[in-house]
Amino acid sequence: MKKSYLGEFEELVLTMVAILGEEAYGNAIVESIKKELERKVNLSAVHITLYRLEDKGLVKSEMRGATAKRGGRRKRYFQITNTGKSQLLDLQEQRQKLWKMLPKLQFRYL
Amino acid sequence: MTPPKWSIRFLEWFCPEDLREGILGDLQEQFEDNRHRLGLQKARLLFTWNVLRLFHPSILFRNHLNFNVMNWSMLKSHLTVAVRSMIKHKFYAVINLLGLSLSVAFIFLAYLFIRNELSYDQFHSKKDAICRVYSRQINTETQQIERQSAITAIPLGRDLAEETPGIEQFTRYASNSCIILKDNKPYREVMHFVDPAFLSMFDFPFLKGDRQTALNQPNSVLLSQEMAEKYFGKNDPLGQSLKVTLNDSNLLVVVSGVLDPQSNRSSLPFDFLMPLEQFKVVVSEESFDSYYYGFVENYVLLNKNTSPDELQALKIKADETVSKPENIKIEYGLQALSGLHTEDEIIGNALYTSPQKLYIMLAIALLVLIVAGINFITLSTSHVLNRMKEVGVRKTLGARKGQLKRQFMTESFLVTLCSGLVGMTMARFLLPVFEDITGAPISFQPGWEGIALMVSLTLSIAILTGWLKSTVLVRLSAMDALKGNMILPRRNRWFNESLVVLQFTLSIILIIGAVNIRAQMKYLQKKDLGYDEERLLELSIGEMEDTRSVVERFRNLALQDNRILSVTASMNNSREPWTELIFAQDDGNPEKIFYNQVTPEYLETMDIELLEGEDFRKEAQNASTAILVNEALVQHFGWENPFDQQIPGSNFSEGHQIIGVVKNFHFSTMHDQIRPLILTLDLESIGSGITGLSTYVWPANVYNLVVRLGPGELQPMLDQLEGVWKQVNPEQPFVFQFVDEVLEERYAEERRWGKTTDWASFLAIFIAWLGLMGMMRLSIQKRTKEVGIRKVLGASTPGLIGLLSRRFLWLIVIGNLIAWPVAWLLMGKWLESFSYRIELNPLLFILIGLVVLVISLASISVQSLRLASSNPVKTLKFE
Repeated sequence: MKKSYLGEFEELVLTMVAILGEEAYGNAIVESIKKELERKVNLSAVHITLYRLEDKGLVKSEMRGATAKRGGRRKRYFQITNTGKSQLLDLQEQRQKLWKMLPKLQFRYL
Repeated sequence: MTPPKWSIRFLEWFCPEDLREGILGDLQEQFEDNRHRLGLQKARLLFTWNVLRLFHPSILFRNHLNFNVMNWSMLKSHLTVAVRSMIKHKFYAVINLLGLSLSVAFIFLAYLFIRNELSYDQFHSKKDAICRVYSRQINTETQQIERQSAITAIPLGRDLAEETPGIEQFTRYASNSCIILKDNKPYREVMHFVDPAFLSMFDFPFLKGDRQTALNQPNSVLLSQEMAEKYFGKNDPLGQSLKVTLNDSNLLVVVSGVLDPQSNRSSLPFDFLMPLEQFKVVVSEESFDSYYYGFVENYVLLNKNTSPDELQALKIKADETVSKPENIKIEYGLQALSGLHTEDEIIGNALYTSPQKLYIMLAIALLVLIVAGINFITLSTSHVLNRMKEVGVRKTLGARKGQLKRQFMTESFLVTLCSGLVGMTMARFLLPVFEDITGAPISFQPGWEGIALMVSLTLSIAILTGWLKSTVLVRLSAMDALKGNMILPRRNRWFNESLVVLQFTLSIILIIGAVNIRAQMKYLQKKDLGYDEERLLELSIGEMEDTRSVVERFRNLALQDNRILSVTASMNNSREPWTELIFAQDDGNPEKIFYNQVTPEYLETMDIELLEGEDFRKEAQNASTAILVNEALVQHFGWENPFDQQIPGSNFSEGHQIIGVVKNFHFSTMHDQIRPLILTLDLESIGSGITGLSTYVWPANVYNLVVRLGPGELQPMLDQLEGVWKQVNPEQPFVFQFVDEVLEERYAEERRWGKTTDWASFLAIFIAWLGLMGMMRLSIQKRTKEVGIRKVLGASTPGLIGLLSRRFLWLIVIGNLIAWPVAWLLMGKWLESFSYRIELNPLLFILIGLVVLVISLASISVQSLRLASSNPVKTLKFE
């Protein structure tokens, strides 16, 4: 199977969806990125990324939990799929591998 | 307190439906947070910014993808519903399909016909620079055109080319009949004479031989493909010789090339081409330098920079060359080759089609289309009422307007597309029939334009009807629709009914037209010609030295058989226009009089009545001075006693004697009045007075034997005559024609048009009738319950039929009232072109109207009878 590659922002959003678990919807993701990483992200950028991830089959979504604050509209909650999880794990392993190689490289260049 | 409305609307517009809720919710939530934290202004700004950021390919792309998916499945459902409804309402489906495909087929054929006619001569690359020269005589006092013709003098082209720098090349185009021998067997053919430039000016494809030199030798001849095969079979014709007899000269000519005359798209037909020099064998040497005789068509090739208007030389030349009456001005003008085929005002020998024909064809096609289109519209809009319940259910289940509209559009497209395809297929198979009716060979190659035309035609019908249908239905409220309130808004009913009236008006006009054209044709054929055309045979003598003695010998031998009643000879025959002589007058007005040279037995053989005086005497003492004239000539000059008179003319040197006046007889077509005519035994008597002429045969001589056959079987008589002919003149082929058949042919053109209008009007009335059936059935269905109640309350069957048909009766009556005056005007106009014509009969108009009325009423009654005689128990249960 052809592996799909994730961009940095995609990876970030995907990780956040995994972290937030049951509570991952657009605004929650924006807020937690802001809180944990002190990084300001745009809601629309997050949405676009979420749909892209959904197209890739890494997250799935469902509609529930309307509030008055939202004008009675439901939230689209995202949840990471098994494919998404394994992709995150893969990424992690690849990083680890690269990190292990890093010191040697450093010496050679110094 | 809220986010900007327009940005929400914008988002709703571009954002796919299933994403909208989640996105808008998040945005709203964030807006609320921001409003408390950053203030309203900034929150709104941020909201808009986010919306704009969402206008992003991944959202739009999703949108696009989704749109496609959704539409496809809906389309499938629409199509299924459309097919189901067609199957359920077979009657309407068939009426719609049949009417539309018939009219598509007819329109397509008409298009092919018109395109074919317009394609004539267009294959010549210099078609716009090649012009035919015509001459025109204008009376300077009255400014009226006395005479115009494209048959002009032989030196004209040459002199024009010499004097006018704008003319690059010229060619003459003349023809004469000839006899060609093949294995010593004679064949009668038509020889054409042209200048060598003919080959370079026109683009007739050369199959064999060299275009540059092919006509340079005086004894060279070019053949058409067909003739090359006829005379040489599979052998190479180049360099072979042919024996050609032209008038009394025998020529031995050598084939120098074979070319393709493009006979189905060229106005200049030919089978054999010879250099114009050889035309001297046919006409006198002096006519090659004289402007007095018109024998040829002159074609010139203009320089690129010359416009036809600039050729002043044309006009100047004319005035110098011909001595003519003071008040007559001769002008020459040019007609471009590209427009020659559909030019019928100034004609020559080139083939032409009257543009009127094309207009008539176009008009009929449009009429048929309108009738079928109206059918489709009225039927679809009223039929739609039958599906109100469906619409009601759909509406209650939440179908939006757009969806319903799309549904009906799909149905319209399905029907028109089907009929487009069926119609084109029909056209393909009806092509031979159509070719036969119109008498024009047509190639079935629609081409891109043709296909584009038909596609846009069907599409526009589909869009129009789909739109009408959906506006009728979509406007209804779901409640009304479910209750089955089958009542169209008043405006719609008016609309439908006026369309039906229009339909009937058009059909009735077409029928009246067809009937009158037929009547006129019959009148022309039945009208007394002034001579007896039955069992009258014309035998062409061919050109030879002593025709008189041939005629004598033939007559003596033929009359030995008592089945052959009488034999005479004549200069002109029934096929071609007769010789017209021009006599210059002292007062400047030339007199134009028709002329025929005959033998003394002419009146007897032709069965022409002698009104006054006496016939030519056979002893022929006075042969050289005696002339016969017709009534028209006496009337023309207003003579009281014609026997004292002379044909007026300034050039007459010898006297002639009018010995008798014959009753008028038709020697020209029925389109023309009978004009003044002189009959003589030879030309001497009036020859000195002639100052000009136009003729198919010249010099004056007898060229045809005319034989009157007695009753009995024809074939043995023909065998007998052929035997006699072989005895008298073994050299010439036995070529004959029956006069009545020639006359038939002469009106073949009109008859063909009669047939075309017959068929078209039949088609139109058939389609209109289909439409009426459909409308009637629908309106009766709507009143099923009403009829049931009326029956229960004691209404009689005839009364019910009357009730149901009354409305339609009125529509047809109104249609008639409109159609009559229009048809009257149109037919009057058409009949004006005939000198001898039928009177339009108002009773005939009314009769046709009545027939249409009766037929329609009969079919309406049959339908209403079914309902009116049905059991009210059943009809009352009807939903």
